[in-house]
Amino acid sequence: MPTIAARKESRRQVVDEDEDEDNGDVAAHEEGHEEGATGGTLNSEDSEEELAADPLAAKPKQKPKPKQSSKTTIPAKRKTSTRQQSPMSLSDRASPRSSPPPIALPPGPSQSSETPGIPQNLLIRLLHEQFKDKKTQIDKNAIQVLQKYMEVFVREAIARTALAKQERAEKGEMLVDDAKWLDLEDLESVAPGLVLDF
Amino acid sequence: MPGLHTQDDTTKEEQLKAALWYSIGKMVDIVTLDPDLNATPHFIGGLSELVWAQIANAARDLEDFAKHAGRSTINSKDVILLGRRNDGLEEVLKAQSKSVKETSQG
Repeated sequence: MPTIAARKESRRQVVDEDEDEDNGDVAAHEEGHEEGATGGTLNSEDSEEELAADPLAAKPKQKPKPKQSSKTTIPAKRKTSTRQQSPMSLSDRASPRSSPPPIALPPGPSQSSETPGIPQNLLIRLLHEQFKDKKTQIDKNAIQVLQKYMEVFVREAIARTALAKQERAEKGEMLVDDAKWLDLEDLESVAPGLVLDF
Repeated sequence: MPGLHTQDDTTKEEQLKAALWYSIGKMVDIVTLDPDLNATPHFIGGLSELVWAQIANAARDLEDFAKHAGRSTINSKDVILLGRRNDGLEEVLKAQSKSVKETSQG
């Protein structure tokens, strides 16, 4: 008996010695395998959100192949999205009134810095998302007028909301200080009239 | 638009909405600075959705206006037509169209 126990102990010691060196590593590997396994199945099913939500658990322990692939796909999408803005330049060339093309970009930013608005590129992109016909284009004068239209829309939304709040404050339904805060419910109350007028 | 989305479509739409949200947020900041108002994030979010829907409607209208006139390129007259039911808005758009035309020519 004592000899066996001694052998066991000695074995343990040997094993312990081996394990002692990379004890933390083994534990880390095991955790990594567990989490990596669950993470792996999740990754294969979808999901960039899962990775984004839990980057610390999955990332350092296992080689995050799915993650890398998702990372590379996102910039790819962005690249395509910027490429798809090219209809603007195409429409510029195609539009009959675009005699001075170099001015096309400079006035955009300078105007938007003076008066706030939706950036021209973004607006063009959003429009092309909605066009039924892929051949539909918009010339660069029209896009600037449309920028103005959207700016007026936003200003009007804010002004009407502020006015509605002010009227409620005057009726004594709320404090005057509270009337300076524009909230979603205030917008909701003026939205139907606003949309009808535009 | 509604219903059948692939995942690509949804992420693309989310990115566009995020971009719109950001620029609407900046606009709201600038516009509310002067009368000393404050907008809650909820307000900006709701306004972004509203603008999103408005752009979608405008895009379809503009496309149909241009098509009705036998064109495939939308010009500023089509945009002015967007404000046809609102005299004040129509004036603003006409003035903007005029100034844009002048700056692009001169």
